[in-house]
Amino acid sequence: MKNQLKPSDSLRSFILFFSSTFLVATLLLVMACGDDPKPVNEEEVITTMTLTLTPVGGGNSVTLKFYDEDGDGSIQPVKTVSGPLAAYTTYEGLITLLNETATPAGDITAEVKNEASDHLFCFTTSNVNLTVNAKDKDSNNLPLGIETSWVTGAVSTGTVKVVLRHQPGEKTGNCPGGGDTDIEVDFNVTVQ
Amino acid sequence: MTVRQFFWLIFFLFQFALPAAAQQCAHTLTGVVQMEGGVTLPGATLSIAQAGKQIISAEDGSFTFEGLCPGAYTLTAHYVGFEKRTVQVKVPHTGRLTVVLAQVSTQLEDVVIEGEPQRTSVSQTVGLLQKEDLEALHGKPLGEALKEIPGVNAIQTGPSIFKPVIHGLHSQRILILNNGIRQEGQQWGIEHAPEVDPYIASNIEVVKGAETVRYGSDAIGGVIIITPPPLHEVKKLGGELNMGLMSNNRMGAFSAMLEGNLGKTSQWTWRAQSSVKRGGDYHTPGYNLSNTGLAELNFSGALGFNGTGKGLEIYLSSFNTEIGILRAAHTENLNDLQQSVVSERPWYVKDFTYNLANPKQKINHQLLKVSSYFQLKDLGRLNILYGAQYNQRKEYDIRRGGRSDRPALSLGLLSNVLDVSLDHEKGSHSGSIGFNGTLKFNQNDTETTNIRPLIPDYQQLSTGVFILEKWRRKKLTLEAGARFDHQYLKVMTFENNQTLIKPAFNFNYFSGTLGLAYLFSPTLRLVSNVGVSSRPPHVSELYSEGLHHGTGSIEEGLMRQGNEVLTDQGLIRKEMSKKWINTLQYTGKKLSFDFSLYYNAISNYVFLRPYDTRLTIRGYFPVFRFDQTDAVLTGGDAGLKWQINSRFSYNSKLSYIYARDVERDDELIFIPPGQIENALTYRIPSMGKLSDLFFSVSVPLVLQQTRAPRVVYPQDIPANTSHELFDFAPAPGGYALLNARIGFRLPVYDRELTVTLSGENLLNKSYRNYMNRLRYYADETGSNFMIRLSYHFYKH
Repeated sequence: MKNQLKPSDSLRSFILFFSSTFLVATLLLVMACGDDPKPVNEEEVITTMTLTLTPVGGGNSVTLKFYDEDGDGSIQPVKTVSGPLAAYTTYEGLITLLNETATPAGDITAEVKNEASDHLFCFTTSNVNLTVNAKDKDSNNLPLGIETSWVTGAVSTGTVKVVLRHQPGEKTGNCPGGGDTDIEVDFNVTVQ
Repeated sequence: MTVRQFFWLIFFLFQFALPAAAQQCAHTLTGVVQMEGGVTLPGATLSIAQAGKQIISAEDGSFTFEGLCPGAYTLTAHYVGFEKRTVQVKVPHTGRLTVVLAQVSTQLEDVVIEGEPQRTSVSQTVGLLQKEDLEALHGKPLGEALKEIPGVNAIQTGPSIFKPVIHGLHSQRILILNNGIRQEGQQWGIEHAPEVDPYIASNIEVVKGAETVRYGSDAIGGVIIITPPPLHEVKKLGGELNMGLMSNNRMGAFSAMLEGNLGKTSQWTWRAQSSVKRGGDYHTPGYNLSNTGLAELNFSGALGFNGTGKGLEIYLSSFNTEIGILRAAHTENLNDLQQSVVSERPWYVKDFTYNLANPKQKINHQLLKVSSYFQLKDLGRLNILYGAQYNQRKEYDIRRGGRSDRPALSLGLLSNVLDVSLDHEKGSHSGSIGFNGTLKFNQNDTETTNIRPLIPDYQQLSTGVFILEKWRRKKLTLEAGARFDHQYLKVMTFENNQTLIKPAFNFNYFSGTLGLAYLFSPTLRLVSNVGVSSRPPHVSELYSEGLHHGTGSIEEGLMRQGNEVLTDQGLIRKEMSKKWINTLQYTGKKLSFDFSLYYNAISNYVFLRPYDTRLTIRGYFPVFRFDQTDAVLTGGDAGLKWQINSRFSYNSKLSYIYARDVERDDELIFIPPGQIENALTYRIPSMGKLSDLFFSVSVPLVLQQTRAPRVVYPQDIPANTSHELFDFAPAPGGYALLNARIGFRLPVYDRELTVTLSGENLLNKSYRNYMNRLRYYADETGSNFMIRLSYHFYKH
C-alpha cells in the first residue's frame, strides 16, 4: 500500500516543478505589488489645438484655440477666438497640436505629419462666408490640412467645424471618409 | 416573421399528425435503486444520456426506462448524500438491474468513487448540459453554449464574445467553477467573455439561484459549474478526438484528449487534453463582419490518485485566445457613433480574411489546482483545494504614432484560492461546513500602455466560513445554510492622475439560504429555495474611470466624483439580493417537463446611470456614473419533452423575465427579451451501418424587448439633461430562425464515430439581437453550416 502511494521520481519532479513555479510566481508578484503604481505618462492625449490665421497681405492675425488641460477628465475645456476675420481677405492657416499633460509638452503635430497618409483635417463652415482648403499634401498627393488657406467673403457670423480624421489604410482625401474622429471642435467666427 | 418562416412553422407543426412509425425502439429496462444493506431508495435520479432519458425511482426504489433502442448505454444514478454511480448496460437486458449507491461517508469496494465533493444544493434549480448536448455544441464559446439552458442568456460583443447572463444578472454577480476552482478573471467587463475552454467539460450545470452560502458573494446571481469527466474511469488507455468545421467564418476547431493509468495499480490516473481553434471574419447575409476572426489554443493536464478513503488531483490548464473586434465598432466620438447607428451597413467592410487587426483582445489564463479528499472516521469527508491562477488581458486599439502594437489596456490578475470543507452524514441528516480564502492582486501595466487604466490596481483578501445542513424525511428534504464573509480591499489609484492614494476597506457580510425538495410522487417533484445574499461593490464599480471606446461613453465609479476620489467606507452600501425560486419537475414515461418561477428583489443594485455630458476635444461624450437603486427581476422558465411515439419527440423551452428599477421607476438595460424554442426530432435506431440516426428541426423565436430603456440618439446627447437610463438605438424587432441537425454514429474499427451536421439560420435571415452590444453597428451572422466529428477510443 505504501509503495503505491509513492509517486515515481519523474512524477515527483513534475509536481515539484509546477508547485515551485507557481510559488515563485506568487512571491514575485507579491513583491512587485509592494511597488506603488506610478502616474501614467499619457503620451497620446491632445490637450491643445491652436489654429493661427495670418492675413496674406499683412494685417491682424487671428487665433482659434481649444485647450483642455486634463484631456477626457472633468475639467472643462476652454475655447477662445482672438477676434473677427476681415471680409474679402485670404489667410494662411496653420494648426499646432500639443499634449500639455507632459513636460515638456508633446508635439502631436509632428506625430500627425509623420503619419500624414493616415490623417486628414476636414473643415465645415456654416452661416459664414468662408472657404477653407488644405494647402499641404501627404506622400500619396492627398490633402492633409495642417496648412490651409482661408478665404473670407461678405460680412457674416457662423461656425467653422475642425475635424481630424484618423484613417489608417482608408484615406481617399474625401471628408469625412472612413476611419475615426480624433478631433472635433466647433469655433464661432465672425467676418467683419 | 416572414411568410416563408410561417410556412416552415406550419410544416413543422404538421409533423405531429404523421402516423406512428414502426416500433423498433420498444425495449424496456427495469431495475431497482438500493443503498448498501438492501434498503430501497425512492426519488433517486436515473438517466441514460445517450437516449436523452431521465427518470426518478418510485417509492419502492424501482424504475423503468421505456422506448429504448437496442445498444450499449451508460446509466447514471444519483441521489442526495450518495455517491453518483454509472453502470454500463446492454439493451435488450434480461431481468432486473440492481443499482447500489454508496453513502458519501462510506465506501463500497465495487463502487467507483469520483473524488468530487457535492457542488449544488438539493433545493436549487439547476440547468444541465450533458455530454451529448456539449458534443453538439463543440467549437462554440462557453457563453453561447450555455444559451441552450432556459433562463440563461448572453450579452454579446460581436459573434465570438459571449458573456453569460442568468436570470438577468451577469459579470461579477456570476461565479464560474472551472473544474472545482472558482474562475478568477476580469469578470467585470461587459465585453470580457469567460476564459474557459468548453472542450474540457463532460457536463455543465447552471445553478439559477444564489449559491452564495457555498461559494461566496460572487455567486449572487448563480453559478456555472464546468465539470470534466472524472479521472479513474479508464482501465488502460483511452481518448477522444473531436473536429468541427464551420462555414460562416471558415473556422476549424480540433481537440484531442488522452487518458490512462500509471503503473499497474490503476490508483494513479492521468489525462492530457488540448484544443485549437482558428476562424476568420464572420459574415451577415449582406456583408462581411470585418475583423471578427479568432485564434485559440488551450491545453490542460490532470493527474489523479485514488486510494482507499483518500484521493488527490493535480490539474493544470492554459487558455490562450486572440479575438478580433468588429473594426466598424470602434468609435472615437458621438458623430462616428451616430453615423453607425443610422447607417444600415458598417462603414468598414472588406473581403474575408483570417488576419486579426486592431481592435482586438488577447487573453491568457493559466491555472493550477491541487485538490484532495480524505474520509475521516466518524467525521466525514474532508475536501481541500488550492488553486493559483494568473489572468492576463490585453486590449489593442487603433492608435496614433505607431502605438498600435502596444496594448491600450494591459491587466494582470494573480489569485490564490484555498477551499476547505467537511462533508458529514449521519442517518437522514447530512451537511457540509467549510472555509474559503481568496487572495488577489490586480496590476495594470501602464508603463506599456501609456493610457490611464479603466480600473485601478488593487489587492483583495476575502475569507468566508459556511455551514449547510440537510435533513431527509421520506418524501421531504429540508436544507438550511448560513455564511459569513470578510473582505479586505486595498485600492491604488490617482487623483488627477498625479497624487497616489490608497483607500482601504473592510467589509463584513452575511448570506443565508433555506430550501426544500418534496416528492409528491415518484414522477413529480417540487423544489423551492429562498436565498438572501449580499456583496460589497466590486472595484470596477467603485473606482472605474475613463472612456469606453466600444460604447463611446465615459464611465465613473461610485467613489469618484469628477476628479475627486472618495475614500470613506461609510459611503459604500452593499448590494443585497433576496431571491425565491420554485421548480416543479415532472418526469413521466412519455412526457416530462420542468417549470420554474422566481422573484429576485435586489436592494442597492449597482448599475450605470447617465449622469452628465462632457465636452472634450472630440466633441461631447455622455458620462455614466455607477449608482445604486432597488431593482426587481422576476420571471419564469419552462422546458418540455414529449416522446410522441418511438420515432418522434418534441422539445420546447421558454423563458421570460420582467425587470425594473423600482426605486427610480425606470427600465434596466440588457434584460433578455422573452423567448421560446420549439424542436422536433425524428430518430431511427439503425440504418445499414449507421446507428442512432436523428433529424431535428428547431425554431427559436425571440421577441422584441418592449421594456428597453428610452432612446437618445448619439446626436441628441449634448442636449440630453435627463438622468433616466437610455440606449443609443431602439431595441431591434423580434425574430424567428430555422435551425436543423442531422446526426448518426458510424462504426470505425471497434468504436463509433459520431457525426453531426447542423445548420443555423438556414433561411439566411438578417436580424439584430438586443443582447448584442454590436447591434448599433451590424447585423447578426447569416446562415452557418457545421460538421462535427467525435471519436472515442479505448485500449482493451
